This record gives sequence, C-alpha cells and structure tokens, in this order.
Amino acid sequence: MITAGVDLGTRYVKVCVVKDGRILGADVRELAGEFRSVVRASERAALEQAGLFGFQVRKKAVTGFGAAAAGRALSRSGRILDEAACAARAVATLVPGARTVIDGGALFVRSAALSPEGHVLDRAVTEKCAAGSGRFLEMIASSLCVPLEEVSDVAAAAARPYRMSNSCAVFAESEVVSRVNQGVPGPELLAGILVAIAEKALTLANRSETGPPVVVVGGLGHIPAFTRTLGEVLGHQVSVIPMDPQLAAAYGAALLAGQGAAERVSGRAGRGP
Amino acid sequence: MIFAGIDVGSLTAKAVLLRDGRVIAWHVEPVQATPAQSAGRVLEAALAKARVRRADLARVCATGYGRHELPFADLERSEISCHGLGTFTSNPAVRSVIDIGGQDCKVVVLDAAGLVDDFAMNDKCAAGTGRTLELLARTLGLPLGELGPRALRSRRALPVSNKCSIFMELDVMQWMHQGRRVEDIARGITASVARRVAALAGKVTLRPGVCISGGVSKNAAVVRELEAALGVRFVPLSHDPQVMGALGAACFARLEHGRARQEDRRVQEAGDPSEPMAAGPADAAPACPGCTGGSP
Amino acid sequence: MSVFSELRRLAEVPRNERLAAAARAGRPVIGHFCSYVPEELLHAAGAVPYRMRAVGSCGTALGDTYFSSANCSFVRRVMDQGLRGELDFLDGIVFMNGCDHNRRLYDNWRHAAPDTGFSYLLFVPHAGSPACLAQLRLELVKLAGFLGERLGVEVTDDRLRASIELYDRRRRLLRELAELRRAPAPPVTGTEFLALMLAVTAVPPEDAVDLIERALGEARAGRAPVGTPRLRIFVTGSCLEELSHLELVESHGALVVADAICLGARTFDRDVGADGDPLDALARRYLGRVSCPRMMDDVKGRMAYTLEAVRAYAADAVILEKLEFCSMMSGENYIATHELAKAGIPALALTRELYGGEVGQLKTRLQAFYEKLGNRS
Repeated sequence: MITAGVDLGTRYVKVCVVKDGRILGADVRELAGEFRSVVRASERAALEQAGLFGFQVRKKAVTGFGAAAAGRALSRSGRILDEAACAARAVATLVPGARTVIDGGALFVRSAALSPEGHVLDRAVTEKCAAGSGRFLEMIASSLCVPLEEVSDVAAAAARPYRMSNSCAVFAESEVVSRVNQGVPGPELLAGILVAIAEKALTLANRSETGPPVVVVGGLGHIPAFTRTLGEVLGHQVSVIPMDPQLAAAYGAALLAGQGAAERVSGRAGRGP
Repeated sequence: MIFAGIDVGSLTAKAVLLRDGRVIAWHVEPVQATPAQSAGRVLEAALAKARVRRADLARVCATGYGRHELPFADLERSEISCHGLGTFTSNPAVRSVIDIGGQDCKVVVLDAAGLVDDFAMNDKCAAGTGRTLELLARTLGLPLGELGPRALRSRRALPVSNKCSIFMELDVMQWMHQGRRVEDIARGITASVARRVAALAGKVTLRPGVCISGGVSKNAAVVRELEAALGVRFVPLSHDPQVMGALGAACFARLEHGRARQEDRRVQEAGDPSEPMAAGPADAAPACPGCTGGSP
Repeated sequence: MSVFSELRRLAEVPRNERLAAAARAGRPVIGHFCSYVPEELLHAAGAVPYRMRAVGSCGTALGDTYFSSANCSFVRRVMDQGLRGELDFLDGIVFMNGCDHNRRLYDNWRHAAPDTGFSYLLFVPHAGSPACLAQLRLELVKLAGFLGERLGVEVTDDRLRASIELYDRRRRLLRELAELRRAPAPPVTGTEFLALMLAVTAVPPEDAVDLIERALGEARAGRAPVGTPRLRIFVTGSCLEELSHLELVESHGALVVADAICLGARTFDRDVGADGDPLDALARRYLGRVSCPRMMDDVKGRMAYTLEAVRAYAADAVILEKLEFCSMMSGENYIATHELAKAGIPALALTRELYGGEVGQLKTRLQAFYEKLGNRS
C-alpha cells in the first residue's frame, strides 16, 4: 500500500511517499509566503519523484506544529497525528530498541521516551522560548556569517565552548556580536550554542527516565557536531536516525497512516497524564 | 566648529555632523563586524558628504550599544540621554520620546532643556523591537518595508501574542497555516508591537509633546496603532528619526566642548600658568540651539 | 597582602580551605538558605553554618528538570549544583519557607536526594506578632532537637548563649565596618563589602570574626579605594551575590555605600542579646530586624529603614534590585519606587537573572540613570 506523510513544521514542510516501509519520494521545502501553495508544491514534488499520481496514495497523515495550528482546515487532507508518535514510529522502524528520541526542530526541541516495543511512554518539549532550538543556531550562525552546512566543521575547531549567559534567543544574538568584538573566536561561540541546545535536550530527556540508545531526528540531526555534543552532555552514545533526519516525522506519519486504528490508540495511550 | 555624534546600534550605525548647531551631514548603514569599523565607516561617509576632514572635528561623542568600544570618541553618553537631546534638538517642543530600535525600546521623558528626567526601557525580552518585526516580516515572506503598508490595508487585526518574539512567531505561523490574509496577520503583528510599547510607556508619566524615533518609527502601521493606544498625535521631527541618537551625541559633544572651554577660562582667570587654548570661532557657546530655544 | 584580596578569593569559590579544615576537624558543614535561619542554632549544635549561594554555578540544565524557566534563577542554579554533586561537601541543609520558589526547592531536593546529608525545612512565620514569635520559638525548639539528634550534640542554653555571643560579635564588627562607609571617601566599595559578606558566611564564624577585624584594621588605617565618589548609592533587594553586578553598578563614578539586602544589612542588623531565654531572644531578633518582602504588613518598616539609611549614609539614589520572576520583589518595587519618589529620592529598578548576562542593557540603564542624576546636580 502506498501512503504519504506530511510534516508541517515551523520552518519547513516535509513530505514522504512510502510503500511497504520504503521511501519512494520525498521533499523538504521552506515555508514562506502562502503556506498552502508551498505545501501543495511539496506534495507534488514528492509524488513526481516517486513517479506516482495523487490518487495512487491510499492513506495520508499530517503532523507537526502546522497540522495542529491549521486544525479543521486540514482535516480533509488526512489524519492528524502527534509529532512524537510519528518520530517514534520512524525511529522504532529503523533503530529497533531505541529508548529515547531527541527531535531537534526549528523552534522546538522535543524528547520522547520509548518503550522497548517503540511506543511513546512520555514526552517533553521546550517551553516558552527558542533559546535552545535550531532557529537559535541558525540566527547565531548567520550573525557569525557561517553557513549552516559548515557549523559542524567550524564548531569542531573550538578550544572550549563559550558559555552563553542570555536565555533569550534575540538577546543572545547581540551577546554573540559583542563577544566577537571582544575577541572570543567564532568556533567557541558556535560550540557554545551547540552546548546550550544539547543542555535543553538534557533537561527534557531527564524528565522521562529512559536512557540509551538515544536517537536524534529533526533538522539538527544534519549537524554532526550537535550529535557529538549531545552525546557528551548526556554522557552516552547518541546516533542519528539512518535516513534524512529532517524527514523522520514525515516518514513516521506515512508509516502510521498505513496502519490501523490500533496504532493510533496505542500512540495516544502512551501520552501519559 | 564641527561636532560629530556616532550611534552604533545593534543593526545599524549612524553618524551626524553638526556645525553652528545645524546638521550638515548624516549617514546610516548596517553594522560591520566591530563597532569601531562600523563607526569608522559611517563617520567617513558623513565627512565625505559634508566635504570636511576628520581633523576638522572639534569633538566626537559616541552612543549606542557599541559606545564603549570606539577609540576615536572623546566622550560617550547613554542612548537614552542621546535620543532625548537629539529629538529635542530636532523639535524643541518634544518632552517625551518613544524610541524603538533594533533590540531595545525606550521611553524617555525630558525636562525643558532636553535632558533626561525619567525613562523606561524594555526588560529581558526583545518582543516589540525592530529585530522582532524583521524576523516576523521574514516569516510572512514580506520585505521589512512592506509590513507597515500591508498592515494598513487590513480592517481586522488577528490576535498575536506580545509576550515573546518566538511566541509571536508561533501565532503568525498558526494564522499562515490556516491561510488567513497576510494583511490581517501583519496588522496583528504591528498592533502587538504597539501594545507592548504602550505598556512600557505606561511605566513613566508622559509629558505632552510626544515624538517617536528609531528605525521602527518608519513603520506607519506601528505608528498609527501606537498613537491610538496612547491617545496622542506624535509631534514631527525635522530630521530622519533614525539618526536621533547620533544627533543627540553630536549635541553632547558640543555641550562638552563648551563646558571644557568654560572650565579652561575659569582656570585661566584663576591664574593657571598652563597654555591658553587657541582662540576658536565664536560658536563655542555652551548650549545647543534647542536648549536656548533656537529654531530646529 | 590586603585582606580584601583574600576575601575576594573566598567569595569567588563555592567551597574553601577554611571550611575543609573545619570538616577535617570533625565539624559538620550545614548549608542554610535565607537570612531568617538562625545560624546560632546550627553553630550551637557543633556545626559550621554555610550560607547557600550559586557561586561557581555552570548553568541550569539539570536544575530545569525540576523547575521551569519561569522560576527564580537562584533556585534553579542551586538545584543544578546539587544535582551535579558540587555541594557534596555539605552534611545537611536547612531549607526555609523564604518564598515559594525556595520552599519548593526543599520538596524537589528531597525527591532528587543529592548527596548533601539531611534536608530540613524550617518554618518561619510571616509576621512579627506575639503569636508568630511564639510559633517561631516552637519551630526553633524543633530544629534544635533535630540537630541535636542528628549531630549528636545537645543544644543547651549555655552552648546557645556562647554561639549567640559569637554571632553578635560578628554582627557588631560588620556594623562597625558598614558605618565607616558613611565617610565622604568610604574605605570599602560595595563590591568589596559584598565579597566580605560572601566570604564570612562561608567560613567558620571564628574565622569570620578574625577576617572582619583585619578588614576593619585596614579600613581604619585610611584606606579609600576610589576616593570621593561622584554618586552615593543605596541598594535594596533580596538575592544579590554577583560581584560582577555590583561592579557594574559601581561604574561611572558611583559607589554603593549601604544596602538592605540579605547578604548585607539583613544579616547584621540588630543583635540577639544575652538576656533571658536564648530561643526567645533569637525569635525576637530574627522577626524584629529589618525585614524582607516575605514578611507581611511591614512595608512601612522597610521604607522607614531605607529612608533612614539613605539619610544616614548621604545616598544620592536608590537602586532596587530584583531577580526575574521574584514574586516578593515584584510585589514590593512599585510601592518602593513611589514612596521614594514622594520623598524626593531618585530610584532605579533593575531586573536581572542571577549570573544572567544582559550586561549591555544593564549598563545603558545605569549610565542613563547616573546621567539623569548628573543633570540634576
């Protein structure tokens, strides 16, 4: 059966077309301007890559911040699924036995604790602000004129991470600028941001007491230095999901779309109080 | 005699040159890697416009976020004092200034000489500042300059939080995912920023003669919302509202020069043996034109 | 070497060699929160009281597991240090219901159970009425009993009187030093005084007395580190332990000459005295000295203290210090600024997070405030 998963994030839309667990086509694009047309274009691109027409997709599921935000407006485009459940499904499929999922997204960092069978036992998400998010890293990297793809290499050159004192992402930006002026090297600042984000993840992961194996999904998974830093902060080995980590939730949504109501119920039961 | 004021902010650097209490040149440009570089560039540009040399400057005063780091500044004053004296110089009717810059927002109440009597400044949060507007315009897919005009076309603002710029962004995202009109979302953003600023203004007692300065004063929608929220009409300024800090700094350079001259004279009269200062032109008056009620 | 360098060094580390020496000599080290915990009682039970602080804290990542980012940064940082094992030199902690954040710290500490010995929650009433005095006395009896049992040293009246005498001596010496700051060119800066307070609340009180006497000696010998300040500042607030913050306040020619903060006047205001029942005397002193906003119905008392101190120390202005999310100071600052305005005393309210950066913003506010004061003179 061919299914599709759409992950409407805060920054990107991700689409995955899946058959029997295998990705036939996928697309990631930035949400800008009129969101719905971006989403439609992304879906078309994923189908095109899969060599399929829309009607061949039997089931579709939508997840992410946008799915919840759009609410009723989306109900016709497929089932709306919880993000943690989708990410967990992708992780459980590709890394059986994983117990903790860290999802590093644009505006949120999430942590999910999995049962040995891969069901979500508990979850936590960053509150209140973006101080520990991908967006934070993006803002700081751009103020240091470092492209995101180079963040890892640049951060690896740091002698020791600079410890940020600001909790507000916007003010942290100006803290970075003034530290640059005071001669703190860019690599140390970037490494410091990675530590700040990893520490947010640590706080979340500590709230639910499952341990390793820890698997990273989400856009931050593209940055090897983040995974390394997270491993150091958590004190155990961390791996990245063996697929495009940014697509993980969309992939999980496509997998869940093909499964019956049973999965939905267990996903929800795992939500905890 | 020429005085320079340089305001190195978080996003832009500004320079103003003052001769005989009149602005002879000003320049604004985005900040460089270091405040010293930004200040150097913007000052050179202003000097070129006025066709004067750096050696012609009698005194240079620095203000803004990078004020402590300019090697060629003779003195520094806080942004709060400078925005106050700058707007007052630009329009002597000004007694209250609302300045919305890149990362901070301040409300300054002035005395009859253009000096600070009271002030309030945004706390540990950047919601309601220029940087927030910039981030949110990007989320909406609009150039920053479009945000105001589009907002003005809306009749109904969609609610947008004003607690934190990231919360604001989530609200904006939500409306966009629901396919709402960009105009209404833009209006929601400008209204939210205006509410935030109005709340800050509530911490001091505004005096009649309220003006708005800083980069965000160029956003007509924020200005309109803010006038409505405060129940005032902003008094006009005779210079670009973005250079008020630099203008105020230049005025402080001039004040300081006058004060130092007076001091020297006093010392001389007291029979100090040190070298007398070279006689300067007659414009060494200690006060700004604004302070003596001169026309802007 | 000046004793002030040594005090600074002691202030900047969470633990020190004097504490270690006392521990080696078999004296338990007991942490305590808040200036309402009678150190005399801990001392009479044979312990070295250690004023809890967040000095040396490296963040809140672990602390935030138990708290939200909208909680007090002091509490979050201390929790974090506890969870990192950095406070394992303690043999016990006496918590107190200073404020809600602090009280919850006790519950979370009990749950997390870091290796810091026992956790005891002292209940201190929120007012100074006879009923509250009687209640505090009962709570102190309970604490004395608990400590006696835990530490194996019975808290007798005689031991307690000896401890009271020692702590009263520490208070008198601190007051003497504080009084010297009335001079036109004070012998200590506010930053130095805070460093001294941090140091003398982290060493055995016997050592503290010696350190303060040496500081007094240097101060009396005509020390004037910054000469005559351009502006004399009175600082009020609660939790304030960052030397870097006071250095910021003492810029542009301003000098802190007196305060009403926990690590300041609240520690040394008013003696306990040797007369009568020592527990009665302790209750009277702790509920009777200059209060903090946790105490009900004493806004007038606090304002009177501030106005009197501003006059006595010839302060030009008051800075009201508050940690973000502090409900106590948030509730107090509006009244305080307005009462001060009525009295014609300029005031500036600053909000910060403990070791929280934002130096640029604070600098601008302080500089603008000082410029405004300069315009007036």
